[in-house]
Amino acid sequence: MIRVESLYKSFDGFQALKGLDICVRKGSIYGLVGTNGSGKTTVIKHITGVLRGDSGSVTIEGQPVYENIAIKERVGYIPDDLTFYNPYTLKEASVYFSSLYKNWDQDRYKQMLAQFGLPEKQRISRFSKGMQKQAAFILVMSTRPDYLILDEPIDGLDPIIRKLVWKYVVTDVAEREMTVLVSSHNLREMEGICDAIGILTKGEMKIERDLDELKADIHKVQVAFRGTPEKDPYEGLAVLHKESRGSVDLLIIRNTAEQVEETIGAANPAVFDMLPLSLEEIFIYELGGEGYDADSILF
Amino acid sequence: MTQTAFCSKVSVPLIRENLRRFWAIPALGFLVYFLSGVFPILLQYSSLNNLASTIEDMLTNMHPFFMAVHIALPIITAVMLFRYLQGSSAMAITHAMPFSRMKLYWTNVVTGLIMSLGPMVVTGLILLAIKRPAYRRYTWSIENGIEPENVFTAANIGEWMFQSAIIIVVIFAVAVFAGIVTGNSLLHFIMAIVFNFLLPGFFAVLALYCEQYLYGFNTSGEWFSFCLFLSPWLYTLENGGDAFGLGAVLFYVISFVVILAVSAILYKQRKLERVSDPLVFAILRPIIIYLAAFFVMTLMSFYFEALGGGELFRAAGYIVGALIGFIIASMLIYKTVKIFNLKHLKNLGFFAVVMILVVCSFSFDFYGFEKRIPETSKVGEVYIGGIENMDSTFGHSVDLSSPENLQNAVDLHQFILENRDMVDAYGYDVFGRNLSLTFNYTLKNGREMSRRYSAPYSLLAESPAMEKIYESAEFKDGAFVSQMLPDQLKYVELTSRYKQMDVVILDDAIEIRQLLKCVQADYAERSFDDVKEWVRPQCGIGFSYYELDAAGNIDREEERYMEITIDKNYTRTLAWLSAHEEASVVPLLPEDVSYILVQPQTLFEGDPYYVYDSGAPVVEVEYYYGSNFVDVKTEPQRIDIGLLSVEPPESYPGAMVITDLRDIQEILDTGCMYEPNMPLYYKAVVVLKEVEPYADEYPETFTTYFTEEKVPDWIASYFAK
Repeated sequence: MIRVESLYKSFDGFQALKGLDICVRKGSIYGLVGTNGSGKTTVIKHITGVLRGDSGSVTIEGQPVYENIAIKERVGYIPDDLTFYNPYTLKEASVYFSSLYKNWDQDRYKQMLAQFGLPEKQRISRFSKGMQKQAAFILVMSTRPDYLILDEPIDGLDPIIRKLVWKYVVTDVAEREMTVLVSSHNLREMEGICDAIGILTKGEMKIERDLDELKADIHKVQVAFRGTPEKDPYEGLAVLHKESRGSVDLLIIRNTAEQVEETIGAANPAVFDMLPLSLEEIFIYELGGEGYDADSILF
Repeated sequence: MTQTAFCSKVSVPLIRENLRRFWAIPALGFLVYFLSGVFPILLQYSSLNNLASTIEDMLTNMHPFFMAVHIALPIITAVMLFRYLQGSSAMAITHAMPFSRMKLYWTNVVTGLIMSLGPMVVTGLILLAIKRPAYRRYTWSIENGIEPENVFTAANIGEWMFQSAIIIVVIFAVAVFAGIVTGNSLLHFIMAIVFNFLLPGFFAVLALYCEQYLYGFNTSGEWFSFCLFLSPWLYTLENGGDAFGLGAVLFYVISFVVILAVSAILYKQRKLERVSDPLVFAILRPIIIYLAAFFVMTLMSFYFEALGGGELFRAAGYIVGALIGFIIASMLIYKTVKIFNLKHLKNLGFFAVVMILVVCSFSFDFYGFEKRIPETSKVGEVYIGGIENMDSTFGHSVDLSSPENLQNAVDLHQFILENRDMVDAYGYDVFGRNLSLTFNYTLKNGREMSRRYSAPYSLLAESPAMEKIYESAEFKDGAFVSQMLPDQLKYVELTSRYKQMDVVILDDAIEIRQLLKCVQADYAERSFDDVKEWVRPQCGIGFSYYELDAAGNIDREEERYMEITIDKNYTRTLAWLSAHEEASVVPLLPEDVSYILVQPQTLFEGDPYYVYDSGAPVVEVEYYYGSNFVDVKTEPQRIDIGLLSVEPPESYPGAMVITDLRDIQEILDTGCMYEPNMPLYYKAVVVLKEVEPYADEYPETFTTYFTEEKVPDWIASYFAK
């Protein structure tokens, strides 16, 4: 389990993280999403032991990560910026990684190399951005990490490779209970892969929930009434967003489906449809007031 | 340290990886060592004596390529190894890998030491393998029959390796420190160089301020050596390749350890999120900015002073330099041009206040430096450097320890301070010559005190204390000529100052002993008044002699040579020379002179000190600066030495022609060697009967001078008509 508790971090007076709490269960895939500049990369660097918080704790299996070589040996990290690998060829990097990580699996490395079809003896600086991501992925996954931390992992990858990447991730999660924390802006992709979601904004965790629970608690509702209801038909509901087009109201409501049906049903609507919300829509609506003009984004 | 303990502190895989990635750097270093040092030896292997001086330079670190590698290799190594701290991706991935910070740090330090020292060690091993005798012969040793020295020995190679190792590791440690405190590679490289010379540079600049403002401050000697001592690289150059003493070795080793330890602590504290910030530690920012402003301010003050001179220009230089240095440094450190705000203004204000205080403290001598003269009772001994230049015939200085001379030295020191205004006024000195005197006091409590002053000859000639020192037995007895035993003499050479003749060598034991005795007696009686005459030398006497060993016995393995010139006051010596046929031809006699032209030297019309013309025809003279025409001035026609002939002219415009032997003798005996710096003086061009070699039509000449006071009456009256 990866646990972040009350993490504070500031940079030159700017509070980047404000009492952040994250809990990533063992064997789960946790999606960390947030607006630009919300602190995702910062928290990831704390989890990987790169940065040290001003206060709070970052632990893996109850042990602090910072300066913990034993834990770091079991953590695989792929950042967004991969220029570190530029001076290497895949072969050179694999030799280096194999000397550092006890769990290095040479067979897996060979297998992935063949599957991804990357040249082993070409300098990584000459790869395309997507190929560099693949190379980093091959190397990190060949270390058989127990904890995999991915920062924008699928940017620049074509759909086939993306599928291959997730296949490996999901396989290791299933077979070895690998724990994954992935940060990405591709919410559609995350929706299909993550077990839990954390939505970060301005250094604070806005929502952290299992994805199914999250989806169960927020709904898009289309309602129309014959005439004007006597009283507010939405009273008592947590309406995140409401838009009226003629007599039809479009609402985003954060309540259970039963509560929504009961409350609105009591007003006898002529039309009442409950539509599923995508993760992207949840993200937008939840953070809609957070410095973004959500109305201009939607519909 | 056991292997396990070593592996727990450093990462062997990372060492291997670093060596794999950066092998080219030490390879290049080795290539330079090899091609500039070993390869020439192999080329001339059959006749290494021809290369002996180069080999000696190599093994004393006086070889430019070796010294270049000694400084470049560790700096470049440190920059490359710690480059991962300066890039966002490398920083993140490296610190996410299974390393602790200390493991990363010490692994890279160990790798860096291997890479920096390896090429030098391999070169040293090759030199040890190929060494064979190479004898260095100096011209003076050939002449004196001294055995040549083999410079290509195992001991010399070992010493070179040891000394080079010290230089390299200290430079590397400083370069590592620079990498820990900077956030980008370019600045790391620059600061690695700057930090290696920062302390010597800072102390040197401080010494310049002291010299500028503190009257008597002595920048040479200990201060200079101290500044250079702070860097082993500079100290090697200053030391002329001599081995480091034990104190120096200890200092550098301790410095190396301390710098690496401090760097380790800082690495632990380093905030990695500051990658790409010029300076990672905020506390260093104002320090670096202030240092930059300080150095630029100092430079600009020199520039402005060179433009216009004087305090006002210097002050303007301070202000301009401080502003420029502060602004540029702030922009670079804070990575923005927007530094014109209250915060930076306050920093500038603070810096300005500090600098004003510093400059004022020097300018007004808050430290009481200038007036400080040690109490005579607290002085153990004093060495006055420069006093040897008072006597034109022979100069020496000794440690003075007698109570009388300690008091005389203090009195002389006091005299200089009391006459500071005259010392500062260039125009005061009659002969336009200043003497640099250095007072080096060793106090009874073991401390030392040094002062240096530049004073005109003529002022020092008025000092009663100077006279007492010069005529004291302690001073006279300290001269080599006083101490020399007759048995030490090997031979004596007599040289004429004016006549084209071969050196006369006297090697008869009785004769040279007699001559020595005369010289010693004349020197013992030589008075300060004799010195102050500054009459021309008659001839030179060179003594070739054997040194005495520690037991006071003559050491025939150690030969030395010293020369003394004699003037008319060495009466016994001159009498002995004239009584010995072989030697009698050496001193200049009136019979050797064809004629003398005497002309008053007056300043020309328009000069602020214009006196009068001498009756010489007035001519226009063009003045050039290099090949560039400057000005044309009207002045009395001077004696043109280039147009003189051996035969005396009937007359010469504006000059007196002297052919009478008694008059010639008087001029030779009383004329002064140095040209006076006065509005009116007399110049006497002595034309010998000899001609210049290879130029038959040009006679040998020399010039002697008279002030208004010293000129013979018959000359003055001639021109008064």
